[in-house]
Amino acid sequence: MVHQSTDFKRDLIASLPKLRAFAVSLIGNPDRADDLVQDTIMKAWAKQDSFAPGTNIKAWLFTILRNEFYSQMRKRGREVQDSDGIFTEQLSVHPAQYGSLDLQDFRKALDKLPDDQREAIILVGASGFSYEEAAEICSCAVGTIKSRVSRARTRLQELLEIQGEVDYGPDSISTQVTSNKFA
Amino acid sequence: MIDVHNSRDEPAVKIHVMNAKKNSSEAPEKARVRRRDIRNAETEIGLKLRALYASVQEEEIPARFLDLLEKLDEAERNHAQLSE
Repeated sequence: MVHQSTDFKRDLIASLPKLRAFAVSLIGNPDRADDLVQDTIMKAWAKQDSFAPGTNIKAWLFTILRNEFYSQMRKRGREVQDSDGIFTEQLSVHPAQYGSLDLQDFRKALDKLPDDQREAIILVGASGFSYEEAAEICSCAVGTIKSRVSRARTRLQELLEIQGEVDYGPDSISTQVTSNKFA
Repeated sequence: MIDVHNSRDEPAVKIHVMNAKKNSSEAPEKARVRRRDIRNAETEIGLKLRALYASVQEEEIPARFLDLLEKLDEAERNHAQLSE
């Protein structure tokens, strides 16, 4: 029994960097994200008997974190949502966490997505889960995850084009139009 | 001499380009360009998303989490000893 618990602890610690990355991507405010990770660790520890050893502990932990995130959101109500970008503004306090200014712009765009779309694109696009695994974590249909990821991509594309017209988008398109017309 | 040679070459090139345009219908070409632009944007979004994620994942695990797990583990061991 003690031996099993040691294995569980070791696997949990090994998953912590990924769990934190998921929480910070999901929430934006690093302090709040770490509070959520702490709550997740306590929940996971309390229900470790329900984890089947040998199965995917990462998916199991992500599911707990995700459910905890939504239950806290429901408890606190809508006002904690970062609709005014208050938490995002605090990013300047943690510059190391997001590296370049470029990534800070991306972070802001990500925070503007609806929660379900943001979580879907993170799980599939960054955490390395398949659509099927992501659907299981979010307890929804695979098709729902696919459409959320697709809508998230489209929205991010729109948001980033508005913020960074010089980088890509209108420029590359106008180049194409010009070369087509005058070739 | 060189100028004359060039001016002779130029129309040949233009005809070649025009023939190529005649052979391929314009709609698939536009669709191809649009698909490529969408793909490039998706790649860019994917790269930034993974970069953001990696920047957090590569950080050291905060001590508070390791301390917490140590305490949870210790409490469980003490509890197990008491019930023995």
